[in-house]
Amino acid sequence: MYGLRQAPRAWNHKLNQILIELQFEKCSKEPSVYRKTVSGNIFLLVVVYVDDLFITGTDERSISGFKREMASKFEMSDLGKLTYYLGIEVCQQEQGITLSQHRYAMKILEDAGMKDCNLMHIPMESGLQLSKSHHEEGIDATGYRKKVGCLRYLIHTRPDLSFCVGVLSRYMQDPNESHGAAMRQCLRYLKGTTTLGLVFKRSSEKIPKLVGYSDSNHNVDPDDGKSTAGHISYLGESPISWCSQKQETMAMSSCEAEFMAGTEAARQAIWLQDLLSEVIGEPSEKVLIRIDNKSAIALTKNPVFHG
Amino acid sequence: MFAPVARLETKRLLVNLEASNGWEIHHLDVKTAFLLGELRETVYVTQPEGFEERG
Repeated sequence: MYGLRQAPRAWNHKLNQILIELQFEKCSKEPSVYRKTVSGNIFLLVVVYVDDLFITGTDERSISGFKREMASKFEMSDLGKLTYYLGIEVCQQEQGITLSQHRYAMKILEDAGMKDCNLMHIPMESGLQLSKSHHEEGIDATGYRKKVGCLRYLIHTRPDLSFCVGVLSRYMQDPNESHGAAMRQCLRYLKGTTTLGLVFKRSSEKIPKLVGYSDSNHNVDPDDGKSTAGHISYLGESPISWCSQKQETMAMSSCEAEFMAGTEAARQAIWLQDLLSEVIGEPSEKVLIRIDNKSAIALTKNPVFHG
Repeated sequence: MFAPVARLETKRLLVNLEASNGWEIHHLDVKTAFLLGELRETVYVTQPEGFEERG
């Protein structure tokens, strides 16, 4: 069985069967999330990550009950409260939960030979114009690509690096001196901020509100003139989903660029809203999207686009 | 041929809910998970040349 191509799928099939037997329901928006209503508004949630199971619920007794049931079916190791997954450090305290990748960030700096560099306060000079120009000396592409890859994984807890790393990723094909300099600046910024991460505070609101924000620049890439757009979604006070990407389509005006950014934010928000309502088992409120461009807002309100 | 994994966005959404409500997150790990699945088809195997063990 081990090493066969179908082994992962066969395992998941088995796990799925067992969870269904235990009266769990598979979430339609995310196939690795299972929910079980124990009674009234007491429920259990299980998140599957291949062979790792994260369990949470409103009631501690049903959590330990579930653990016992699982232990009778499989050989399990109970790792207690979640502290570490996929290189992300989890700190669960009375006031809330923090996620950080401190150790991983330190490892990136060490691998880059920049453990003792001087720190910078910003990840990238504002208005920095990088391009694919061939007038400069090339640099070691493999090393550059490796750093980009490492930084991309770091973005899971660091939305502040999202834009900077997105820009650096565009020059993996043929990096030159100026790209290397931008990369060094990003790493020097990282040096001063390795302990940053996401903080989720305990709140009085049981179900925090979802808010999406979107923004875009217009026509700045010197190679193809495309715009870079970003969006971020907050649940309550903390960000949960974000993205910074060069747009696929050529925007003819900043209004168009912002409108497309808003659309992306709305798409993400719809999914998050559906997922949230399924997880908590109640219909969720409408999501508010905040756009900072008047004409784009006017465009979103035009009924012609909502046939 | 895969086993689904949770999106990191999903995990963050749930961690946010857990933090807001003060729920605990527990972590379980299944030992040798890939050996537990059940095969539904016949699989033929041969031993590599030079390494033959009588079954």
